[in-house]
Amino acid sequence: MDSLVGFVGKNYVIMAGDTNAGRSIMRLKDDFDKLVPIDSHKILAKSGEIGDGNQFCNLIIRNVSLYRIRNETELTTKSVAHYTRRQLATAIRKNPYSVNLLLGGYDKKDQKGSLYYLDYLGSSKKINYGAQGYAALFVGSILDRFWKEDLDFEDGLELMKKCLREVEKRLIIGTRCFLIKMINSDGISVVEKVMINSEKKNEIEEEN
Amino acid sequence: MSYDRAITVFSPDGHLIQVEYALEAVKKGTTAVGVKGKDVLVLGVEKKSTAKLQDPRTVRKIVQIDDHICMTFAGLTADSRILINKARFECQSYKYYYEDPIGVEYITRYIAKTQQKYTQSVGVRPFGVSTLIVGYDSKGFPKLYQTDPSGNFSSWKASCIGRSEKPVKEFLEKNYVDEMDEEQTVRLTIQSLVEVVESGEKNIDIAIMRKNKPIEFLGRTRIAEIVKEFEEEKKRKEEED
Repeated sequence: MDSLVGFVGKNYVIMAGDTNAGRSIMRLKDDFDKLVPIDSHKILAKSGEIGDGNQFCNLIIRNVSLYRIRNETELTTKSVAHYTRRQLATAIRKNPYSVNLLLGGYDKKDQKGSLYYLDYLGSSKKINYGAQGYAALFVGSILDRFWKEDLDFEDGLELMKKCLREVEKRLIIGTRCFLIKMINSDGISVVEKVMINSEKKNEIEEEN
Repeated sequence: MSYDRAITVFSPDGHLIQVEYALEAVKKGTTAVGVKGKDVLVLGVEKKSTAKLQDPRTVRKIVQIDDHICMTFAGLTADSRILINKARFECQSYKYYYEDPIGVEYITRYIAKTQQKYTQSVGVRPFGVSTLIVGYDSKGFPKLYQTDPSGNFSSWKASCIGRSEKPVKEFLEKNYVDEMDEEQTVRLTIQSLVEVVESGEKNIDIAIMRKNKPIEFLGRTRIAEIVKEFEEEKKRKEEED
């Protein structure tokens, strides 16, 4: 039921997640932020069991902070991805966390953004664009076609909205509201909270 | 097998000799000063003179425990590393469980508790470290705490630990006033150290902790400026006399 989308642009990473939190057929919350900041320049987008997601993300955030205080330097996105994957991989064989993640981060050293796909089995892959949850079914082909390297922010935002429109249109379970965040050299910023309503187009047809 | 005997035991006249010896070790360490202003906290340390071939940047006495808490110490550096590490872990652990940043008194109590544990455990010796911990409490007031090898802790307006503890404390008692602004607090800290530190301002580190801001280490040139102003003032006073 969760939808997470993310891709890398020119010196930024843009990520979006739906803002629904539900339990079976019931929507518990419609302003749930699934894009959790790990530190000033990294976001962990979580999908799956809400409790597991909270617990796991907390664990990662605290350990990344501990590293930063101890060593007076921040971890790179790659390191955090590896660390997160390691935690998931050891957990799957004992007490699995039912979370699938997208980790997006901007590294000041390389001046580049990067995106990682991590899932509950302990897989990890560096990707240019990707999605988790049901969005992955619809958004993959759009991004395959339209994603280019070094997209400007405006173009990137347009592409993201294209993806989200598709998710809203095709997913039978109502996911209208999405939160879009962006990471660049200045840190994490909330771009927009979009409400997509494709039903509006049918107004003319209804009158007939 | 050899863990069956405690090292810190009472003497016939009711003292814990090992703890008192630990305090002696602290008195051998380089001086550290903490001063609380109206809305600022300043830590000053005497840096141990480094050998010619040694990289002075690797010798750091003022450390961050969390984003909003700093500490310094006097005594055995290696022992302090253990306490600092435990404190850092505890800060993150607290945030993990309670989602709130840890309180200054809470972490001080934790460090003091750890120091006390090592005075009442089998096979271990006390930490040869006294610490000064600074941070802002939940109400936003600056707080300065001191711990020592016995596990005692208390809150101070200004305090000093290490080898020049006595003269610096006397100086602070004479010159401390309540509600000092940042400039006055920094000057008092530098002044208290300059008298006792050998080879002057090059061997002093000053750190300023402002509310909701990361710790700032005062630059070399600024410290040198302030020290110069003191010396000129001193000369003027002597000439007047």
